[in-house]
Amino acid sequence: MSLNRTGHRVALNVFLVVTLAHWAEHLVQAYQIWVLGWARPQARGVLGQFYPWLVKSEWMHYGYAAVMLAGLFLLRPAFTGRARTWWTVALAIQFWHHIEHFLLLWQAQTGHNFFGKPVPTSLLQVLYPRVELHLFYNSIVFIPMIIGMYLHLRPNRRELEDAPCDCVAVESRPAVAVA
Amino acid sequence: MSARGRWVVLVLLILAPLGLWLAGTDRPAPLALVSSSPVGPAEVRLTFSADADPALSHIAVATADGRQLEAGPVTAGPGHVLSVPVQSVGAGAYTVAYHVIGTRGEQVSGVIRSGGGDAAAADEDALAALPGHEHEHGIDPLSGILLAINLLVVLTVAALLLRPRRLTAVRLRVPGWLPGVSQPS
Repeated sequence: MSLNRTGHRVALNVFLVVTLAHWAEHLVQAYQIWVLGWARPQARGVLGQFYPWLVKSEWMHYGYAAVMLAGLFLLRPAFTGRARTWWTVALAIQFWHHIEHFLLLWQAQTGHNFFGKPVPTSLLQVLYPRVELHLFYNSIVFIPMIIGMYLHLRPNRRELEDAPCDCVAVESRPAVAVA
Repeated sequence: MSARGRWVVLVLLILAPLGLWLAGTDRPAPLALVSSSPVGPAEVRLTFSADADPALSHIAVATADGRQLEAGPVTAGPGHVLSVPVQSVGAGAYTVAYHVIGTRGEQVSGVIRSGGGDAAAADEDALAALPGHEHEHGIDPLSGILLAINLLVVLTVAALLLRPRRLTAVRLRVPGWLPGVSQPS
């Protein structure tokens, strides 16, 4: 089974579930802060409520960024036309987001934090606080990714012809060669 | 059941427990400062209406002229008490700024001025000077807008994908094959 042919639809669905679950965690976190009135360090989403170390682990954050980057990279070949453009935008932004998480992990491992801060600090955190900054990164990756996914599943005729995968069911699929 | 129906059921099965969990999560009672007192010349003690988390709470003490006094780690004691050792409060006027997180997520912040009454509504300068006080407060408008846009995108795409699709295209793999031309037998 080739990832970008017969396995593309399954892989895309798994990737979508992972992405939506992560995004839902942020939504729950926002609900805890803004609706329930919890303090930010206590608002840890669903998994973090039961496993608080998860939220504090730079390895977890870096791991998720790496999984996102790998998914966007590995699934990209089957995207065509407009879908490929949007997917590539998401990939490029996620590449930078992943670099930010790598630097956070590096600071956490070495104990040398940027800008003399007491905690690991993202480069663009000089402009915006960490929680909001990474919510921004996630959003600007998530939105073009979802648009790309939609266009991949609802292609125009040209895009469908170029797509190597079986994500879209077609009325007929000629498999015979013209004599 | 159709494939779309199965997807809807799957999404509902995932979302229902999450919704129930959130609905069952209480909004904690507000945390309030009950009393405060310097204990001897070297410790400040604050009593709250509920248990507070010393690891997430910050307390800073300054003299009347704004000089920050060196303070040790915040510790919790019985009776909803947080205390912090300080360099020396002495007999003069002093200011205590606090941002305290309750064990259930509730929080309270304020400034106490000895002999000068309670400015608990918040003295931003004194609160900003709290050591280790890095986290933000209140609703960030950009984050709220981003979350709303994300939600809108998800709902829009989900609605579009659940809409019946018109199957108009035929995948062509044969060189020279033109759309609309009938398939050879």
